[in-house]
Amino acid sequence: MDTPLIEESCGELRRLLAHEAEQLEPELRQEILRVTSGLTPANLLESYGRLNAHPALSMCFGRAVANLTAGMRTSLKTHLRLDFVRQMQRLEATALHPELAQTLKGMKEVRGSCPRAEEIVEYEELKPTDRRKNRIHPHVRVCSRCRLLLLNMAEPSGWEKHLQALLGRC
Amino acid sequence: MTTHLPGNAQADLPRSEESPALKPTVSWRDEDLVDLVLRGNRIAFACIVEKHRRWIYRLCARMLQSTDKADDTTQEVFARALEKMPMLNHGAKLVGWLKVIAVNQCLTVIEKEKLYRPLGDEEPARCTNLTPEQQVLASENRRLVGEFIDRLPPRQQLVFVMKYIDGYTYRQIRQLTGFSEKQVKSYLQNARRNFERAWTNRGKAG
Repeated sequence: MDTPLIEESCGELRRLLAHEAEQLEPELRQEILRVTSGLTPANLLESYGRLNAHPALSMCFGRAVANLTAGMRTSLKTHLRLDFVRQMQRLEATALHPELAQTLKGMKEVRGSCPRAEEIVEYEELKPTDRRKNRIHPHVRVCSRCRLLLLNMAEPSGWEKHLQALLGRC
Repeated sequence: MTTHLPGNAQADLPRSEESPALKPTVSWRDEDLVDLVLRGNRIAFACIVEKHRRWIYRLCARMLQSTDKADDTTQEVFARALEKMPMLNHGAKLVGWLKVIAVNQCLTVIEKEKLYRPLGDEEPARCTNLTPEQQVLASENRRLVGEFIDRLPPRQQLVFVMKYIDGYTYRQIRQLTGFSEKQVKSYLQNARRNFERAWTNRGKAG
């Protein structure tokens, strides 16, 4: 990615947004200046999100972007997309509270082996409140395999579509 | 979907003098059909197959996520059903009984083909060096976490357990549950938020 161009684009966007802000009510003008005065490639996605939350500010942003050169617009879009991907990756990697993560690991260690098919079928036929009292519940609630079995045993509407989607990917 | 009578079904059926004369149909009650099968009526078993093969096939297809495997497994289910039918005490329980056989057959395939395994899943290393006090605390924490999981909505529970207990990736969760990417992320984010809030506030309420 061309870093100088994205920095140049952010600078130009700041200038255009300041110009747009002049036409706004004082309160909104203050808000747009607060959000955009520190606009950099690093906080572009966050600033974009904040401006987008307000219709008038969102329109200002749209007009400012429209007044950028084509190259600058492309650079902004590419950067926003990359930033979004990075944010998703951070979300994927987000760790839980260490003690909680340790406890969850411990639950996997002590959950024991999966119940027999008879017990799973019997459990599936119970109401949610009765399931909690069932003997196999402590295992099922922390076992992905049993939970997946239960999910797939119930016949959801549109399951054919899901199956088709799966088979289409194979 | 093509489900036929198991290969040796006709030959395996016991024969009697009285039942072959009866001509049952799929509209008959399960218990009557089972009764006739046990007395050697071959048409009665064909009726049971016809009456139940669709839902069994669908169940197998969902559990195994494959129509080919579902075809084979459905045939296996009826072969097992025929073999074990003398052990079925009352025909009214046929649906539940067939479901158990189907789930059992699917579990055999799931185990054999490692269908529900998270990537790189290994036996967890057991932690044996905890002091008695730490063990008590760990046990109490597990009890609390179990309660927190119960409080989450069902779909949040599922993705949370898949992600944080068994370590499935987002992609695997999507494939195995059929949820969209957006749904998986949303359920997981909400579950994590609800969970961490409950975890942070543990002990405060009491």
